[in-house]
Amino acid sequence: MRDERPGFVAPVLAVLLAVVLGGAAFDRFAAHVTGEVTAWRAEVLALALVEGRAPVARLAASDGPAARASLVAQDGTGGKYAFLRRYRYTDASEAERVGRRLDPADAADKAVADAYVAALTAPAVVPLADGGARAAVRREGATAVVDARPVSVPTAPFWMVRAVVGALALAAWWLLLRRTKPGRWQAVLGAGFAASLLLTALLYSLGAVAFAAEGAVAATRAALDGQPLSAPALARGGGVALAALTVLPLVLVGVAGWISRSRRSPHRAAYTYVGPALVGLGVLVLAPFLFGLALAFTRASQGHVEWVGLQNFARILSSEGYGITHPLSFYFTLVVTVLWTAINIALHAGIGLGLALLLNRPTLPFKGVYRMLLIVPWAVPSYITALVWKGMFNKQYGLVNNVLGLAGIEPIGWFSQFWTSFTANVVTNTWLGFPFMMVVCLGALQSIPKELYEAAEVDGASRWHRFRHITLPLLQPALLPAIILGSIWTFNMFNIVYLVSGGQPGNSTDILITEAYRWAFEQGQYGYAAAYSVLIFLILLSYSLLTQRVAKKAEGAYA
Amino acid sequence: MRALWLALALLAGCAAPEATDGTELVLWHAYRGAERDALSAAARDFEARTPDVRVRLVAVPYDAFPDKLSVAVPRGHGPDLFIFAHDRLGDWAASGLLEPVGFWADEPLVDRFYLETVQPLVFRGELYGLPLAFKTLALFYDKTLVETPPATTDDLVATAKRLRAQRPDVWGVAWDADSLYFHAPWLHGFGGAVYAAPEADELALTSPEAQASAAFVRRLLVDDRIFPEEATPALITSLFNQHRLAFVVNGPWFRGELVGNDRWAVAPLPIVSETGRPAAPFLGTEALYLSARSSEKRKAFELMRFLTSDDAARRRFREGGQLVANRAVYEDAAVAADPFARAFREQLARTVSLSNRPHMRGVWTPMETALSNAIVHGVPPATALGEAVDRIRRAGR
Repeated sequence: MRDERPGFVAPVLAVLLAVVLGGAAFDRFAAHVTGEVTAWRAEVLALALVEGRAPVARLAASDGPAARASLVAQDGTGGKYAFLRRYRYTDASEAERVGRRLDPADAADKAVADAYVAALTAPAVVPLADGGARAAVRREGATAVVDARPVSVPTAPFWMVRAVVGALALAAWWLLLRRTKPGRWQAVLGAGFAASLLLTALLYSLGAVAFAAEGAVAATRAALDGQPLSAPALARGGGVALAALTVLPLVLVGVAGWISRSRRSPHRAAYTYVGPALVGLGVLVLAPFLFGLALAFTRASQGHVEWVGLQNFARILSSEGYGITHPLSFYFTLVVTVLWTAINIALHAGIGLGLALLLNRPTLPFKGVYRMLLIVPWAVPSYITALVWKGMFNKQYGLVNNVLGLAGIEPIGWFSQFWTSFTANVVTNTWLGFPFMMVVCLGALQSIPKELYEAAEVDGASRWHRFRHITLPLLQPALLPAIILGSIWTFNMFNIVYLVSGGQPGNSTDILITEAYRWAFEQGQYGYAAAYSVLIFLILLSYSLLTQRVAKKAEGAYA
Repeated sequence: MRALWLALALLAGCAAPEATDGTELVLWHAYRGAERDALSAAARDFEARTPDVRVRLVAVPYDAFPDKLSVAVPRGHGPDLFIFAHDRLGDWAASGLLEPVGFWADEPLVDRFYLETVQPLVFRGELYGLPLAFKTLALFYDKTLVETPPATTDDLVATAKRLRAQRPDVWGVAWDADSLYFHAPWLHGFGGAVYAAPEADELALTSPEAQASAAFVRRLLVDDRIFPEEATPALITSLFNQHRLAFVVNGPWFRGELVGNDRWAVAPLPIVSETGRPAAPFLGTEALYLSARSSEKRKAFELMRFLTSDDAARRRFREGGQLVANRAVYEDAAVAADPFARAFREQLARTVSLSNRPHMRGVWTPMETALSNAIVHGVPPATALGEAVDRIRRAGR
């Protein structure tokens, strides 16, 4: 871009493009409102018909809204099978046919059947070719079909509004341009563009919605002799569209402003590189997270989603009225989960560190073989390990009881008491968990310089002193993050608990995540399960914030 | 200027025309192997008969089926027809996912099926879907250990005890005792029921009959010691295949896990000696449903009519090994001579159809805990069942 003088062609084209594109968008919106109003009115009429508030004859006779109306009602007396209905049919032009099943061979019956099937085949309301709409509504076995004539919204006045606003925006830009320094023109143009778009959108959509809705309500009221009506669907649809159209220019101008600012930012290139990853993160992580969060405040049953506020949380935190020591209480499960995590991590880290120290001895023969064998549990898919261990804990045929039997110990019903069942889970998960800690420790051990040990030995430090004052402190930077990560994994270790003990006995060994799973996929209460997962998230969030502070302190001490 | 052309090109791209020819009906199913092949052969027959309609079969994994369906159908992306067990019917019908088929179905059509398999497809007085096959439980027995199947539970216990006395490594009888589905024969045989009334969601699971049924199974496990402890499905299969288990209560799918077809047989479940009533398992119907959002309902129903016809049912029975719902198939000489089909057909008359109401979904897990507590862990049945009913009520709030 030349600095001395801004170009004229680009801004004029931009404003023209804005007016044309904005205009096209608004036309689509107007068409949408028109269709919406027609469809809504067809539905209201069909509802009135099926609920018996307006007979077919009056709907058809009242000069206007309903081009055609018909009612197909089912009759409960089906002969041999009570659930097979007979059908009767009412239409303004046809006689009523009552008390028998429709006969496809009879021409009149076939016409009735076709009308009924056409109504069934349409998803509730469908647009017709002439701009009207057909609504089919079913209540208590009766089906009403109504074809409503199109309602038109005059759009010409809004074209004028749009042209005037466009011209004003252009003029504003022109005036502003003359007073500002060259180089800032994008921002000015952006502001003018946004203002024009915003104003036009507001005026146009407000006007169109109000006009169309009011007209339709008046016409329908007249047809139904002053029945009170509401327009919930329209109000909602129009409201959403309006909000979207109002917010969109604001977002656009925000983005434009951000881009024009970052043109001067030294990190512009970095943003470009990070951009795709950010979008991916937003779609794959942030969006499902927000959806889950929203779900936690709802309760869904039979296709109806209901906003219940904090009720799910209140129910969970009040333990559904169970005492704190009851296995189904939230607090009992929380304590079990914390215990489960703490014991597992202690065992994983302890065994992992011990084995790493053994394997790190330079004189040990066949080191590679041992190392490989010890990593095997980690390489096997965890659910296979879980099922194998569950089989080994079987009371009659399991390996564990067989081995204990050799020592003269009576067979133990591992899953019939809390502590044995819990132990079975812990043993299985320890088998799975220690190789990771071992690998981490081994790596860290090998990076400790040998000179430190030699120096300590020269100074007369014992084995314990060398371990306590050299090995442990130098392991810490590697071990601490592994422990934090491991405890978060273990806290949410679904596979082992669900597959090994399955919560036995009496759901007492369930942890929070298996409890949440049961609510979602066994009971079908997704909102309740989402509230559980939000609570799990909050617990883990506070845990990791806490450990981060500890880790920072530790780093400070040994840095 | 380049941006302008780009914008115009984008606008033009949005208006690409869509081409359609003929009608395509989409059918979702969760079948595999022979069942799937038999279904697709039947669908090809339908296409040959009605040239303007194509049938697209889409295999959807069973576990993901209900979730996919309840997400796709309301948005218009779902199938025209789908095949699933009937136990979720109430939920789907109440959510408006299903189209009632009472308008098209007539008496001759419904006469094709055993009424027991049609009844579960009725929800709030409307017929949803047509039955393809049924699933229930029967008594599998090892012919090398037992010559004739027992007529009563006393017979069963006596036979099992005798066997155990002769060979201590052989067990008497087993099923997945924690599961309400497998416990149902005894619950009904003792005169109990899941619900107190056909329409209300009030549970009858704490009744003396229900308690007696739990006590009966605990007796087999603890007093008679004929029921192996911690009998998981995998353990049951392996014991039965090793001829170390005389009786297994299981469904038609169990056949696929067994080795050596001539060493076992199936019989209807015995009469409960204490009450004189037959042990009546749950009946599950596998049905073909019509989606409420199908745009070709008339043609879709023609496909339903065809796939449930006696000829298509024979094919599904012969090639897919399904226990089909059509009466005519079992009257064929070849089928009447098939002891497996005969046993399950006889059992069909002594079943209780699994409730299709939405409320039922919340019953399974609490009852699993209750049965495991009462049968395995020795909690008094009244307490265990009371806890389950209390838990179901709390969860349903």
